[in-house]
Amino acid sequence: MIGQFTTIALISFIAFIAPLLAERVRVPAIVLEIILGAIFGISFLNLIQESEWLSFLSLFGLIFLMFLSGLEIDFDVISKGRDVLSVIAFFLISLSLATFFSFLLNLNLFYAIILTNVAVGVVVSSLREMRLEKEKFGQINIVAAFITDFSTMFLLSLYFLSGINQIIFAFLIIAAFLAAYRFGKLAIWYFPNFVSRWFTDEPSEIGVRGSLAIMILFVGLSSLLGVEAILGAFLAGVLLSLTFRGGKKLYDKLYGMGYGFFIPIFFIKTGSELNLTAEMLSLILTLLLVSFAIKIVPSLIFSGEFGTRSAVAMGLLQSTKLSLTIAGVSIAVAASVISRAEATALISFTVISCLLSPTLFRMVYSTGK
Amino acid sequence: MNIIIGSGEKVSVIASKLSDSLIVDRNPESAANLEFKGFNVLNADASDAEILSKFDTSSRLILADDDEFNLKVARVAKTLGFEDIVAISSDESKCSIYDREGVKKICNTIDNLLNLLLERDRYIEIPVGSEFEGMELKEFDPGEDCTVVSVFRDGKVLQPHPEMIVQKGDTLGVICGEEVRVSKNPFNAILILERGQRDDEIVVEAEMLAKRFSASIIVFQKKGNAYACNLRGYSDKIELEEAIDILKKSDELDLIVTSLEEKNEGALKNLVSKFPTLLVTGRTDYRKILAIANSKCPDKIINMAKAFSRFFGNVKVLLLEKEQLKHFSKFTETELEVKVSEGNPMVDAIKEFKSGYDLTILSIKNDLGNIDRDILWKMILDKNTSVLVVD
Repeated sequence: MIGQFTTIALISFIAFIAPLLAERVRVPAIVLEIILGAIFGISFLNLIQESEWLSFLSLFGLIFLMFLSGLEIDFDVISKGRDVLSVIAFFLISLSLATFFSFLLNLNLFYAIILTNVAVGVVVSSLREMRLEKEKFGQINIVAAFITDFSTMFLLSLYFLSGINQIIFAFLIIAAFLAAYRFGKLAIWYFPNFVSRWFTDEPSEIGVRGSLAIMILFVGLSSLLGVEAILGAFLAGVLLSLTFRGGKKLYDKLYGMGYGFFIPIFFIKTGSELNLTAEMLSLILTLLLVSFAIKIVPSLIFSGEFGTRSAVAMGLLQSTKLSLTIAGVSIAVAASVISRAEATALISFTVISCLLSPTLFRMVYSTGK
Repeated sequence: MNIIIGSGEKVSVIASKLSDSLIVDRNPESAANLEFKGFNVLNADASDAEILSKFDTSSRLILADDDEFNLKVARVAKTLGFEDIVAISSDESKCSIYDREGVKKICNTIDNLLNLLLERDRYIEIPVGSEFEGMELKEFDPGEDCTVVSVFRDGKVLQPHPEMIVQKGDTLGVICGEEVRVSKNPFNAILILERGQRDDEIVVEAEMLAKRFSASIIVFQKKGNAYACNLRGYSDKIELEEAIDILKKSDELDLIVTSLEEKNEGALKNLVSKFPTLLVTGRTDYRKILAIANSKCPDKIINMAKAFSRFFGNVKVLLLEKEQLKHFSKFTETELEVKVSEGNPMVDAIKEFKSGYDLTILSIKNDLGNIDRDILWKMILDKNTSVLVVD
């Protein structure tokens, strides 16, 4: 018992210092969480011991991550976004290319989904850094990231379904989702006084409790039906985002819980399980090259509007991977879709991609201006 | 002096709004026609340097002909030393060409142009003499389309409020213009649009408004597929679209009063794009009024709120974002209760909407805040509250 607490104390400390260090070296905090996890984990110091507590907290972190990813999808951006059709074309081409390469390299279809995925957070913050987020180029990039993110998360959830029963069950969850959405809208219209309490500062934190109840309800429903918990968590997040369409205070509290405690534990634990060997390098390199190719080629449909250089820059930016890729990998390991060695390669690839892609984007985009 | 170059209706609209103007029209027929209407017209080719050189170069040139001719005149005018040149062009792609020719401002509609031209004379300062001393600001009447926006006292700028007492030696900063008029007395003419449903309620509410705002009433009734109306010169059957267009052009209408039974986005947008449209519930008074600022440019909503508070009192404005407070820097003579949404704007708006208002003012654009389109329509069609929909 004491041993379990020391591990958790160590992880909490890493979670605390990771963002502080990340600011210094100017990389996303998640990257440092994984690297520090790897240093303290089995490959080097071996201080992070596997335990039930840790597994639970890390799993909860993953569920929270999926929930907040759903919550962060801004449907207003998509519905009011310009050129949604060409963005959808962009997504479909990159997904097809990813599928093609996966077959060519004799990889699992899971890779195609992971390679298509994009880190919305990194895309938005890179654009913001260059003051592009309000311009048309930036807007198209943001809409593309949201649509890609939503679609790949959805595909990922479907991918882990096996057998006709699970597919039917998944549709049951989606039906529950639609019913809850309908119900939510009616509740807002008929009981605005009650719903508004979710968004104000009440000592009892009704909003946080309600949101968590909805999240866990969907996760429970998923596991009851034998579907991956991420689908439920993700749909619960999307449900809140679609029904309430914003509500900063409540969201901030949920982010505080998720990103402040549970989610870092998930990333650090994932890092601690990395066991990097030299043979993985070729797979990592291949994945990097493919991830650039499958985004740069479809971005060229925007070259007429922004010029070839900017289109290539867009491809580089859209190839960025981060949190959801890692989430997908850890689920795939648990489901024995990929081996531990593959997982290590994929996570290393993700870390490199999230450091490399935005940098290349900045270089290519700025030299053109 | 304003020298307007162009022909036809377009220049007559511009000339009628500007004092001290001369139209230079190269088309003899149109020139004769304009002269007949009482405008100051010269039938000549303005691209001829000899013609332009007759005018003082400090005059303002307003180019309202086709793009090719406008540019030709601009080139000549520049060589003669004219500096104040504005142009009206419907083709945005021509902007860069105008820019190169040194034309200051391109305005794509006549309204924009007029706003631009009239803007310059809108701010005046009035020194307070002994005749106004001791007066409360709300008693001070600067005229129907003017309002006090600032008070200068002892070298300081004060924010005016209705109870502020004016002192000798103060200087009042006054802004005048159409927008101000709208917020002071928005309705001169009201159109009753009867569609065979809830017609009694429409008439009751429109008459109440006409009485309050001292406005005249135009009636439209549905007869078969067309409408009949008492619009001057159009007693015969007339299509609604056509009638609205005529009223828009002649600037003879300020408000449409009608009813709507089911969601019809196209039809309502069409009306609202021309005039504010009130969907009635048959009220004979508005005791409580709510304005929801669900637009990126909430000025129209706020102006309506001010106007209604002047004639009915008790108006609450719900701002969906804190930044919208900046739109309130200039209100003076009316008191609105302003509330900013603290939690979820959509939920707060519904909560307010449902707490018993007689009239709700909102924008059909709905491009600010998170109010769902379905929810917006539920509000518009709600039978407990009359809804004034603005653009």
